[in-house]
Amino acid sequence: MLKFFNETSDLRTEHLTAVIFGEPGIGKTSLANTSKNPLMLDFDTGIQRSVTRHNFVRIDSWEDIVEFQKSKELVNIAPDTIIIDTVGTMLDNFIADYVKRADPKNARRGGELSLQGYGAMKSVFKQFKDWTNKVNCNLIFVAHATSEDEGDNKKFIPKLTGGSYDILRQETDLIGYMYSYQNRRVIDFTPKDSHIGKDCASIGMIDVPEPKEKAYPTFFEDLISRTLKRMNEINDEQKKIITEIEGLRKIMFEIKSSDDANNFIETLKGKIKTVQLQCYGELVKHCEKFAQYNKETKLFENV
Amino acid sequence: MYKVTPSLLDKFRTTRAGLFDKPIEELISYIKGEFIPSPEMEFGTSIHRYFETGNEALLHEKEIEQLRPFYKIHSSFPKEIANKIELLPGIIVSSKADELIGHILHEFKTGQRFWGVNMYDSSIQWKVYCLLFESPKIVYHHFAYYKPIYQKWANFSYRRFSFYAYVSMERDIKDIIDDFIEFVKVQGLEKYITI
Repeated sequence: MLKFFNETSDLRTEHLTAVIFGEPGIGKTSLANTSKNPLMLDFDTGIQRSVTRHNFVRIDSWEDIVEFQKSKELVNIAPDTIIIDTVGTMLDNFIADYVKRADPKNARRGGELSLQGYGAMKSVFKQFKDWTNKVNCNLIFVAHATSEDEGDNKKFIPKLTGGSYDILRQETDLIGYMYSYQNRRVIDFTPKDSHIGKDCASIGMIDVPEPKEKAYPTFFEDLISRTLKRMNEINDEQKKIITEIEGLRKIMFEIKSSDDANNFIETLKGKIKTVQLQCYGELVKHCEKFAQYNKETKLFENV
Repeated sequence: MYKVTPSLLDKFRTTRAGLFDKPIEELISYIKGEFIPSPEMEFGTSIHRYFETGNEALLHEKEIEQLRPFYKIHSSFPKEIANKIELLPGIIVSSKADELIGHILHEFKTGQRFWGVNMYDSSIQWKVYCLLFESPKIVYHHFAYYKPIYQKWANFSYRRFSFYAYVSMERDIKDIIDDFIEFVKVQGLEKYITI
């Protein structure tokens, strides 16, 4: 059975999922470590190259994760952020191996994941993501960059196999591409023809401070706070607009004359575009028995 | 006055980039309105119609069984919301969004296979929608279907993913509109987009 999401459920967002991807050696792992009270799950021994070291756990198999989730160590550390370094290794090697071992049907004869295997991988990934929410953590995925041909264009995307990449894309709120630009290190959250991005908080492209600079230790923590704030603003506005439209619909369904309809149009003029657009269509439909909308005068006339 | 739509802009964008190996003639036919929907597209239209109106007539009962929970969640929200704005002097951008819930747009997509999130990410459609409807976010609902030859109905798989409006979005849209209009003029196709 297909599972769908209730689009009007209360969506207060306490945590988010971010992706930092970029060139090797650009400082992705170090940057991820500027998040709040991080704990790194090190799938790639990337911690050795990081200039900022916090708590980390070396992962050798997915069973290590399962064990770690139940461990006292986790309770003692009580992280605010979990960093996956790198998500490519986690998904394509560790989780893929885990699901193949769990059920032979998850692999094809050649050893690669079957369609069912991708489904199983998605489910394990989703469970892991839900678990990070349960333990009140933000989740940051670090990934290497690779280029994908899009016709004649080249586009930089996180380095993962196709199925894994789509799983990651469906589950993330903030995506930044880190690279060198005019002798500076930048991270760009804007979706562009040259690279992917996701940016609800209008961060755009910004310089990454050097580790000695004052802004560095909390650099990514600040970006996450800014994004969460904006995500919740969007959700709060959403609730407000839905309530407003419900109220307007009640008034609208009481309309019985073209004069009432024209007064209602005046009321709508003070509302934001999305509210106006949703109400206009319904208003025309509601009034069609007793009034006609004149597109030139933009007013209702008696039939 | 010229009128452009997101689908025209996307057709232009993908042809120019050499995606899907589509010849330029196909784009020109599209601009001329000589477009014939494939059976796949017609099936997609039936699914859209069901989500929009609840009309079950064009789908198999086994298909309805799979899609009904989605329809129930979405049935009370306004569908096919149209809007147009003069984004550049003398150029109107017009579009119709599948659904608006509050200020969040929802777009329904169907296809025999899922080509990946990137295909949608790169499209101009969601950017134009977010701009035209002043929406901060768009959610795509993708229904990929598979119809085995021995079966009369399709089996669906569902994916949900979203994009956010971003800072330089309007500039990106205007850039592609400029390029498109230039192409139309070079090809002498102005009459097909003139209103």
